[in-house]
Amino acid sequence: MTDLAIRADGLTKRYGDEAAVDDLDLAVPAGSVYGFLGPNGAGKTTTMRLLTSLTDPTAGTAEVAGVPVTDRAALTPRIGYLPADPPVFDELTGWEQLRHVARLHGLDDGEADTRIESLLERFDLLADADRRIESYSTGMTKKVGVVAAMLHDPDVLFLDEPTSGLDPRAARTVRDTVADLSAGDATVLLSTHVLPVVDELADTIGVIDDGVLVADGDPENLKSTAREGSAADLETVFMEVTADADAPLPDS
Amino acid sequence: MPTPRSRIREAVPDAEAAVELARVDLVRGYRKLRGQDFWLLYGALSAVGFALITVYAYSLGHDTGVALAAGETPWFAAGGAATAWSVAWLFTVAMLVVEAVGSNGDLDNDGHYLTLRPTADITAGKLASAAVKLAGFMLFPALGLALGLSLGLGTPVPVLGVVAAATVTVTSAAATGYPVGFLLKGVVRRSNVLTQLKPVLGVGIGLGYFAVMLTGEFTTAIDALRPVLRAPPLCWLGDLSLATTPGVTPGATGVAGALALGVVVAGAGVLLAVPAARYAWRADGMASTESDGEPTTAPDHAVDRLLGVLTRAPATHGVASTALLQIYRSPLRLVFVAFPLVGAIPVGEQVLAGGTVPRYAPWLAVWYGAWAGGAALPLNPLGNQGKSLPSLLTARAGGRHVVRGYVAATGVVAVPVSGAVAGLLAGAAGYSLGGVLGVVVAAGSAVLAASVLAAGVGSVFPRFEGVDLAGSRRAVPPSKVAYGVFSATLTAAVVAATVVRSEVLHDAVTVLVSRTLPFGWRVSAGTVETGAFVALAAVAVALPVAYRVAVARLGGYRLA
Repeated sequence: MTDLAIRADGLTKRYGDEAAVDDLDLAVPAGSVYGFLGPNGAGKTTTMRLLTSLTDPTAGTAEVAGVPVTDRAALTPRIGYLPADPPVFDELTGWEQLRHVARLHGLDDGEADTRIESLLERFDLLADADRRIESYSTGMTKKVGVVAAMLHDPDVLFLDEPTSGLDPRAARTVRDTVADLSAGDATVLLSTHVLPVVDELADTIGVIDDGVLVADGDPENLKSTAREGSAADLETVFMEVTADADAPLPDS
Repeated sequence: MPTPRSRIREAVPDAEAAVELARVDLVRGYRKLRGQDFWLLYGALSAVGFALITVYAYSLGHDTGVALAAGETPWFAAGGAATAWSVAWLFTVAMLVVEAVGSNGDLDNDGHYLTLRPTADITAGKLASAAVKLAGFMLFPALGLALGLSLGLGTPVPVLGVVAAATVTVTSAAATGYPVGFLLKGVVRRSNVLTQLKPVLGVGIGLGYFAVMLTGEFTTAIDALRPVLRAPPLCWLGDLSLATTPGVTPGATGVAGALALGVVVAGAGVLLAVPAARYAWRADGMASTESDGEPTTAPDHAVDRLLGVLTRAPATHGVASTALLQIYRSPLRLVFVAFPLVGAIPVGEQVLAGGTVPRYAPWLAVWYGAWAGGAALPLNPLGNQGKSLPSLLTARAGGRHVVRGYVAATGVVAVPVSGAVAGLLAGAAGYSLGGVLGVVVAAGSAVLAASVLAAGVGSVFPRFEGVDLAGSRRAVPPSKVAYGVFSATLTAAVVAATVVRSEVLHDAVTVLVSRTLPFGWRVSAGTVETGAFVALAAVAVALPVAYRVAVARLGGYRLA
């Protein structure tokens, strides 16, 4: 049996009567990329927050890298998280920000600086690393966030919209990096609206709508189960599984 | 190629467009202010200040009116008005220069308006908006003066002159200050050095302003400037303000000159503000590089190295270093701890008037150092993280790293500063060498203890809503509950320490408490001393409790 990097059983988060995530079951094998799709407000970010211990579940259990999500101290060394809005201090330079994050992870400066330099170079950010983040473009800030999430070499990475705002070259770098990470031992849970990215990278796809996981499986299988059969693409699958039951499909 | 018509459109504002732009700017400003509690508090404090000025203006006007009605020539009518209006004009110009240099002189939405209207319209809109805002400050003191003069003389006609002088003051000062401000903004934006030094210069100017006010040098400066203030053209504003006041015969030249020059300056100022604004807005912003053209290397700051020596865990080092870098690069965050300095003005005046430092002054410095140190950083350890909070919470860093980091960052700066100021004041107040050393040690200890206390209080009562500072800069001040609990506890601790340390203050507190108690109750010196020891013991117990609470809260914090 394959080791699971992420396992969730009946994971639920309610805000009053509203269920942001409702009875979610997930099983993501280690070393894979899980494409997490859903309309805006469907519950993707809440799910990520639950799995990264940023918020407590109302019900259900989950483990990431074999650690219960309720045990933050044991969990944090194993995970990296990039929120949709990159978590940076605008007053710091790119390098200062990354060193700050490295220190929060307990890395010593020498080790951290070597890794920071290499990642900055990979993301074509080294020349701008001594500029303050407040002067960065959206894409540059996103790159800092991506690098910060992987700085401590986590087992499981949660990336929320990692390619939004990036130019094609930087987006390619992110995609290559995700592919490299999953080729190693790392597991990536990738939330994005850019369906071709998921199509290219994801081993498994989950679609969440109104807090409920409405589709989950291998991309090819999902495409073949769509109404248009094997000719369907991921967009058709997405539109189909997230459509209102009574609403006609856009192209029908 | 630009046509003569398009050149005129670029240089001469369209009044209708400018009014619309000013209207939107004012509505936005009002709505923004309404939703920001700290600026509302600042506004309320400023309103108290202006209310006092208004009362003073009314009293001055009334005394002048009564004296004029009795056939006398009061000092205000014999030159005082000229000085007062000239000072008001200069002050308004300075405010508008600052306004234009600051974020209010920036283009909104990445200059989107420039794709809709010529530069002239946008400049005039901003200038008009600033003039209206400043008019609000001028309005009430001017009305107070006019009302006082009218009631003193028994006729409403002085109102006309005062309103005319106020109008000319605001319009001509706005038209003078804004072009100068835009010009300075353009110069700063074109200079890498000035761009980097802008925060430091801002703090320097702010401190200079406070220093002038605290030391009473403002009056000295006015005395030195008096020949200029009472000479044309500035003195004409005084003539205009009293032009309709019975019993005063202002120079016709002054009245006519003020009106004519007001119109000319306002018109010329608006026209000059347009190229000045263009100069500011079209400057290529200087990139804030730490090493010009050099290969990028790992950052290396002296304070970071010092903190590396003082802290063991990398996470503690990281929290401390980042906190100080943020404060250094965005010193406006310190505005939230600057309010109590206003309360120090009477002490400064007392020192100057008496020529001696009061015995309580060093302990006031101990209190303020500890309060400011605690409130500046550790009082909102969660909110300070802003959008980086997920980074902290998903890192190995635990609550103890955050608390120790903030205490280290506060201690590195506030311990030496607070110790030095309190020690100098103690020496000047005539304390013995032992007394001075006691105050210095107390100042340093108070800073560290207050930091721990603040972290405990702030972690229980966090605040995440930011407050706009300047430009796109936002800071998250501590919550009002955190401010209240922390301030009350710290004040009690410092008062208790002073009671135990100083016999004079001990007696003073005994008298003060006895006077405050109802039903004629009194307390003995012994009771006060016992109470002080109990309070100190309570604070001593509260410190480890605060530390543990902070560590637990920060380590286990969950987002909603």
